Order: sequence, then structure tokens, then C-alpha cells
Amino acid sequence: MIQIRFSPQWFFGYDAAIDIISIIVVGLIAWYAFKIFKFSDRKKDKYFALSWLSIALAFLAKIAMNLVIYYPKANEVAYAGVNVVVQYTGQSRMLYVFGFAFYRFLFLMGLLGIYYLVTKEQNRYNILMTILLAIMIILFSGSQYFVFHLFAAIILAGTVYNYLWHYRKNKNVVRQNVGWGFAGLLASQVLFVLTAVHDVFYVAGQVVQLVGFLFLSFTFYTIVFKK
Amino acid sequence: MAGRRTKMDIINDMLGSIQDKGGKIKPTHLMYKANLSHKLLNGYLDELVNKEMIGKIEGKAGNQYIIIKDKGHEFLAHFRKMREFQDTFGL
Repeated sequence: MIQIRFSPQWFFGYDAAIDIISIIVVGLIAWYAFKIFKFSDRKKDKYFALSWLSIALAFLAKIAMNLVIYYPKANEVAYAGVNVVVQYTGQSRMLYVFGFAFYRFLFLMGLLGIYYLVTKEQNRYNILMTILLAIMIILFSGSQYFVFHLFAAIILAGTVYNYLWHYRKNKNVVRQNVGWGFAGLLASQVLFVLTAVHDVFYVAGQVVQLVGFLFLSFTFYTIVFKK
Repeated sequence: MAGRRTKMDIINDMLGSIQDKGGKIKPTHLMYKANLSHKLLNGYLDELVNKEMIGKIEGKAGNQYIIIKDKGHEFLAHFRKMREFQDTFGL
């Protein structure tokens, strides 16, 4: 039996709304990065756009999977507990397993892409090694949910460190705001790990994730739309 | 050391030089300011004239001047925003 529902029942729908806002923010950044790539023809810009696109698709997959979990077909689900522990069988289980693996893969690939672009890592072996590690975590970890969020937190910690360290050197406030945005995402991943203690941490994680994306969207707005 | 300039960097340098000079510059000055050879400068000038980013006019003494047009200003604004985006996100 696998625990797959982490959200308290009253929060159903709100988490999807937060994920939709996240998709909009992430999609806008991907769109603008792709626009830059069309203009500059730099590989970096292309990979940056693809990384954000990967995260946007990950959120889409997550919303789709949450719909499957929150509104399961009665004939395919055997409830083993009240609201929290649900045993999925047949097609629903397959959809759950592949759907969430797809979400986790896209999310981690997006985060890794951003991390490597920001840190300017060029060692292909290092990059390949972490991608393989991410795939192994997704496929073979016994407690995928927690290991996934821990791994995401570790990648985000590296990204945040890079942005804030850069701020210490150059005092670029806008770049510091990007760092705070990623710090919000990092905190949300840590809170998701704590969902094992209480489902209120899932709510807190979603809210903090929203704050992180709002920070990023504010930064994006000040650069792209403000004259 | 700064890397090799891309085509967009060169166009930005050219248009930026014209803008810095109040929107009008002599071709020779532009060549030095944008750090280009005579041959390269002419190639870029033809392209930018075709794209209506710049124009060529004659001064009172019969000297030729390069002027920046609205599309050139738009390019510069767009390019600066993109640069800011790249710098902010550390690309």
C-alpha cells in the first residue's frame, strides 16, 4: 500500500489553484527565455527556456495526477483508510506510478538545468551523473515522495547559494530577489518532506511555494514589463 | 577577457554608438566606436538599412551621416531588457 494523498481534504482545489499560478509564472519565464534564444541563438538561453518548460509541464502532470487521486473511479479504488491511505489498483495505479514518475522527472530535470546554467557547470560527466541519480531516485527509491523532495531541496539550496553569493559580490538587488524566490521554493520542498509529520505541512509547503513563485514573477515583471 | 561578440552584440554596439551621439554619426566614427573593419561595417550598415533600423542622410557639407530610426530604438530597448534578464538570472 502506498500513501499517495498528502493534502488535507479541505485543501483540495486550492493546491491545484496554486499549481496553476506556478505554471503561469514558470511558463512566462520559459516563454521569455525562448524569445531571447530566438534573438540571441545562444544554447544557454535555449536550455534555460527548456528547463522552465520542463517545470511547467511537471506542474501540469501534477495537477492531472491530483485529479486522478482526488476524484478516483470507485470501481478502481479500494480504500484502506479514511481519506489518507488509498490503495490504487489496475489502471489507476499504473497512471499514478507513471504520472508521478513523469512529474518528478520533469521537475528535477528543470531544477538541474537551471542549477547547471546558473553555476556554469560544463563537466558533462557531472551533469550525466546527477541526471542518472535523479532517474534512480524516481524509479527505485522506496519512499519516492520524500527522497524526491529532499533531492529537489538540495538542488535548490545550490541554486539559492549561487544567487545570494553573487549578491554579496555584486550587490545586484534584482538578482537577490531571484535568490529569495528560489529560497521560497527550497523552503517549500523542506516543508513537503515534513508532510510525514502532519498534513498541515503540505498546505504550508504549497503556500510558501506560491510566495516563491510570486517573488520570481515580481522580478520578471520588473525586468520585462516595467519601463 | 570578454568573449567573442555575437552578431546581436555588434548591432547593439552600432546602434548604441549612434544613440550616444544624439542619433546621428559619421560612418568613420561609427567604425571606430563599434570596433569594426570597413568591410564588416558596410555589411552591417546595408542590413540595418534594409531592416529600417537606421538611415543614411547627407549633411550640409555633403558628408554622409548615419541616423538611428524608431526600429533601431526599439531594438536597443528590447536588447537591454534581454541583457537584464540574462544578467539577473545569471546566464
